Amino acid sequence: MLFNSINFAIFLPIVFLLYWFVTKRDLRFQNILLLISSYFFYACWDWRFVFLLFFSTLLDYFAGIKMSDAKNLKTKKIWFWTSISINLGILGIFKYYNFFAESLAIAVENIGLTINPWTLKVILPVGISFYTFHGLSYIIDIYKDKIKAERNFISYAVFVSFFPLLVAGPIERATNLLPQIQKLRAFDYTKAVEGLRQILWGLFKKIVIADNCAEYADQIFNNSAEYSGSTLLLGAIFFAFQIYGDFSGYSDIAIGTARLFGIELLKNFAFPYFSRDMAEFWRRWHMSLSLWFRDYVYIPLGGSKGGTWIKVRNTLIIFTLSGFWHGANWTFIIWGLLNALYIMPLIIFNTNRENIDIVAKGKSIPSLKDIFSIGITFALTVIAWIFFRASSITHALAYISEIFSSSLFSLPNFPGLGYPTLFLCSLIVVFLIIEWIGREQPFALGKVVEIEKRVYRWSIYILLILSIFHLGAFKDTAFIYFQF
Amino acid sequence: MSKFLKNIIILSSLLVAYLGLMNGFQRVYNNDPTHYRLQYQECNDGDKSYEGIIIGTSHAAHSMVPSILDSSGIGFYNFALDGSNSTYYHHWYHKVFLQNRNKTKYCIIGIDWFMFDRKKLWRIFEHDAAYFKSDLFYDMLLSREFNSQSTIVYRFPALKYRESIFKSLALQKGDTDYPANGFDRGYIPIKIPFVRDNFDVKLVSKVDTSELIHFKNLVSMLHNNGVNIIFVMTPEYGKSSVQYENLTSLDAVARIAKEQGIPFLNFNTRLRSSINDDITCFVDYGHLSEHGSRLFSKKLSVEIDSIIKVRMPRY
Repeated sequence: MLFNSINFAIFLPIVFLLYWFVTKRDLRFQNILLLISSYFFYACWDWRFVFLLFFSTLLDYFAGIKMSDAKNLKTKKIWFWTSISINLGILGIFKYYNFFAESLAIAVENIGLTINPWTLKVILPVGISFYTFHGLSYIIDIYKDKIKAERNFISYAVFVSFFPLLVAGPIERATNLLPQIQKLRAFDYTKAVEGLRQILWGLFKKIVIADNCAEYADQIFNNSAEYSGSTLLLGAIFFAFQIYGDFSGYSDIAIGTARLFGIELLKNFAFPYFSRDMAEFWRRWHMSLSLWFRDYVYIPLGGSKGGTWIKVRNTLIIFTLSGFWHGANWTFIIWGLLNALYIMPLIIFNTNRENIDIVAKGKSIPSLKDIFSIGITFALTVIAWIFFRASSITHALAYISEIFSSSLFSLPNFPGLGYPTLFLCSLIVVFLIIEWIGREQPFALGKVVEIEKRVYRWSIYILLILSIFHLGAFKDTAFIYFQF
Repeated sequence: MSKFLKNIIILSSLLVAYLGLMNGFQRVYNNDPTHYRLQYQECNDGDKSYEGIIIGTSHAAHSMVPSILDSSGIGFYNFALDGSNSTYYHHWYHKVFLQNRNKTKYCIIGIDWFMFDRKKLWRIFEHDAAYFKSDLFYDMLLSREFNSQSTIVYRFPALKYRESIFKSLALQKGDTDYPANGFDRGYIPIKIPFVRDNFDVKLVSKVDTSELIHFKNLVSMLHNNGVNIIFVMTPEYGKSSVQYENLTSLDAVARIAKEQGIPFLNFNTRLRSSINDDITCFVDYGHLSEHGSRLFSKKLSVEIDSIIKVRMPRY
């Protein structure tokens, strides 16, 4: 069930009405309803994987209790490593087994031998990377005595499977989400309206920006050998907006939907394309994953303590892992490493925390220096996205080398180029202007709340809905991050 | 909560009113060719019965003129639709045609070298939801065989043509490519601007297995209903017979024809004529012009007549 589908448009109001009219006075019923809805939501993808989700939930639930009840460190460690190994084992089998088997075969072939690895013909369960990371954070937090184990199975199962975040995050923490699940939620008008506003903005990003960009990005990337450098550059820029609109749009819908149920999720995006350096970009892009890696990998490895080279090593490790988390393909690993390289000078010269504030805070227009920095950061990001989108490293390298050839200075040319493309470019510009105006809010449309007259606010909502209706690309396209 | 619900209801009402208006507007000023609606109207509500029907892609829709085929002694109706494939006709025959019409005696199936290529033939059954009777529409919503979202979207003109609002606002419904005054029992002439490149197409045969299976099932279903089938491949411009050899799609059709005793009238090989080399008979490599379709229909009528006379000889 996609967020941008008719099925979800029917599912959400039903659950919403049941939640606030039938179960509103009883926490237990509220949570049972959320759990049933979440499992139904997940079963709509493929009912068989519901058992995997249930098993993963059950494992961490029991491991958590056993760790909390452990009388000595040894028992605690045994349960900790059991849970970690099984969680990572499941993730490894479903997501990475074929990658390792095939990479081994290629490596062996390079030394003149041949093996036929046994590859698995399995479908990747949607959202497996996300709910596995939920479970891992819970187990690690208990091991480090940051939280106590949740003894109510329903509450814990809702924490893992809460449907807005189940398939593509944000990657939640027990410290943020569990306390909210443990308390009876009361309806909050402001929160609910804010939620709807965020859903509307998310749908606009996904259906109007991302899915329209996808059409051109796919066409250019899939036939890249036929196009000039300027066309390829345009394709890469379209992909940059596709992935931003797609993933941040998804996150907005997820956060907005959770708000309708009185639950606040972690923020996942903070206008990353207005970043002035790559360190700032990574503090604003997929924030829940960056924070996860910071807290559970970077800091335990020594973090920023212990000198420059330790920082360099740790940065390389988390970016490689981040790339690998995205998928079992060398393109993602190179994408991660490239981002690590971008950040490296900032780490070495200790300038990675120079741009903490919102760009041009309190001003309408950025300074020339800001514009230059934003431009450079965006250009670096676009180059990295080429690895993310390309089918192989060879494809990515060929793509980039054509961009940096003399054909970069020719006019872009591809089938479909014309008014629709120009119109899409204008839409992107309008989108960026709205994002710029709303950049001090949690999401761009949040700025609307400052407009006093209701008629103006409603005009904006209606205009956005009509834009989605008439300009959106409704093509049953799943969100990119579902595959991770 | 009541304030929240009140606002939602007001906003939803405004949007529903807008959709209602758009639905009415698009029902009149949409961009679908007229013959789609007229063909379905005939199939759903027509009271005249036909001895024969024609199904196939746009090549068949714009080339076989029923009133000319009358001289064969069989009254035909042309139900061929642009972009339709075997899967489409498999559904259409038993969910639309058989539900609304008496069984027919003859069926001409238009054959193309790209007929099993899903990328080339884009039409899915849900695309025509706007023309279906209500009971079929509801059945499709409940069936797992069809995409309910697409069925809904294509049912309502406001949703179906939502992207072409500006085009619709700017244009009167014109059917410039298909002059409606030439409509003749499902046939409609095609008039598209002359583009030289459109006459030079490489024949690449691709066979999607599921399309082939649906084609075989369609043939079986027609046979089980006592229908005499005739395969007809309409003329294409400027290619020699040899170019149609070794095309897997046509080989598959020929094999089925041979196995089941179905006449296969191929106007690009065995029945090639002066039409194939006369550019005035075509609007592009495969679509006949009005002039071409009339010449071709006369030839086809003679062939059908001879087939009937010798009682459907084996291939």
